[in-house]
Amino acid sequence: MKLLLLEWSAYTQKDVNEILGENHVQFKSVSYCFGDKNKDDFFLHRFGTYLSLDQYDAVFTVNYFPLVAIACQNKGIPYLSWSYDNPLNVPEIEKTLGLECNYVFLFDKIQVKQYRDKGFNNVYHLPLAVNTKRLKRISLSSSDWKKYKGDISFVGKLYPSAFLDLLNPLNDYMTGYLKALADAQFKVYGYYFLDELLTDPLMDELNSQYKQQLGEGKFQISKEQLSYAAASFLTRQERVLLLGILSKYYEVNLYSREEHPALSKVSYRGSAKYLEEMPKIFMASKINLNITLKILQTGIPLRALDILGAGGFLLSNYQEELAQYFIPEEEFSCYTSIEEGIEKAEYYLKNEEERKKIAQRGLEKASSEFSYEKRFQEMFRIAGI
Amino acid sequence: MKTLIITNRERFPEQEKRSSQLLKSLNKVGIEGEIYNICKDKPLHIQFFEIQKIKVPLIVSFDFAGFEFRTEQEEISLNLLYGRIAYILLNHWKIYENSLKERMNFSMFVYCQGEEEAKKVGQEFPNVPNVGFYEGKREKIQWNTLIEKILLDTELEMIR
Repeated sequence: MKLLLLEWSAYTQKDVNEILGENHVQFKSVSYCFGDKNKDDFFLHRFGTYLSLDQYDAVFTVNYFPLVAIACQNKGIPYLSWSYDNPLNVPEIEKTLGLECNYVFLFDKIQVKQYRDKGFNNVYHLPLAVNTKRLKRISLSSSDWKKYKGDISFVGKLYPSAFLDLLNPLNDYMTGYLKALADAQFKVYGYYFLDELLTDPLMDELNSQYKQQLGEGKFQISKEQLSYAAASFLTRQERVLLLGILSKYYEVNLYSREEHPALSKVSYRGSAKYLEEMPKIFMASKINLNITLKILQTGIPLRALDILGAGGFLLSNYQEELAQYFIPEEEFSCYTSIEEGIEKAEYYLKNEEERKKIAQRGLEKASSEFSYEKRFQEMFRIAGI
Repeated sequence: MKTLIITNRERFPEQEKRSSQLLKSLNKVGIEGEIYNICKDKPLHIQFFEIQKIKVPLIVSFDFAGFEFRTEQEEISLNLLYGRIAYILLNHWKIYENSLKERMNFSMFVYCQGEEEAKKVGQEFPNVPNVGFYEGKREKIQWNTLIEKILLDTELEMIR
């Protein structure tokens, strides 16, 4: 088998390449950065040339690129894409999603269902993976322990959000209603109902108010944009609240590009390098938090697998697929409210032996069930290559 | 059309003269440009942010200036920029061995001193997506010919 890989600075690219190489899958890599993901004549021309230079069984990318799909469709070559982003961040994706060449793998069951319900039968559910072999090769020196140790660590964005700004031009009723929806969603784990409640009549009324307040043609918003703004706002709230409260009682290390005024007691460490530093953080921290972007309904985010695969102890918000594949309180720990998150952090900081056993079992499960080999086997089987 | 020229004059002092010469030649063919010199005084991520804000269809870098900017995955940050990048190497290719091993987008074009060097780079570093050459050295670099070559290779000659 021979693949053409289009690389782009994906977190998981090195692991993908390593595993393909280890399993004797031949591949050629080319790299590109898109400006407009839907229009780029230079890319189509050049990538088409690459496709013609050799015989490829398929093209593979981390995340989905419409122009790759078009190039593959033109040449009659299967296109396998496996996304770790959710939402996919691809404008007008449905224009190319249904192309015959496509095999689109997504890690969230609900997201897959939504596309399949629209008739896109070439969208498949495939949980993400973790390269535990690479992570086992990483060891902590004594200076690493000193640098990265902590009671609780969180690696991730704080999700700046425009949600509150979007409410400014709206009348009190609409603002109140949207805030109430957001407040309700904040308390619910495992079900993102905001999308269902942002109905077409609601969106029409909202956009009519923007037109009135801001002028004709000045600003309109789609349901997806509003939903994402709300989800990132809620995620930010949850992250800041949980980190803020925990940092009052425990040593909390935050690895993020952004600081927040409410997090004056956390130890702010800046961003962490994905391949080398992040695993060390997870190994050296007693508890590692995963606080999932609200819009991601059931799937296991990459960060959670990064933690488990490094042998770190994972304390996560409830995600249906995490609880489906990993046994709660035996292979990881989860919370369904801020209060429960705090209680569990306290408990597991006090119970070191139990915490370490859970982390070990989580690592064993991640190694056996979430390997890249397993995932690629499944992808190739589905694509018939 | 606008271009951005990236230099690191502290590493390669010759770039000061060559970048000015290039800028003059670009202006003569109706292409605007500005020079951004990477300096020690400002954090690298701030400098990269400033370069990111200058959105141009073509960046020209001397001697892989800009490879100092690194991502969290320890790769070159220039791969995160949309648009063509032309790297003009003012010295023997051996000096740039480490840079030539970096993963580069296929919108990047490397120009060596002369055809022989270009052939050698193409052989030693097959992963460099596009390798070309320019005629002349030092004061005798044929800028107009090189500019035409860059515009043709990068498929930008139509938007000039």
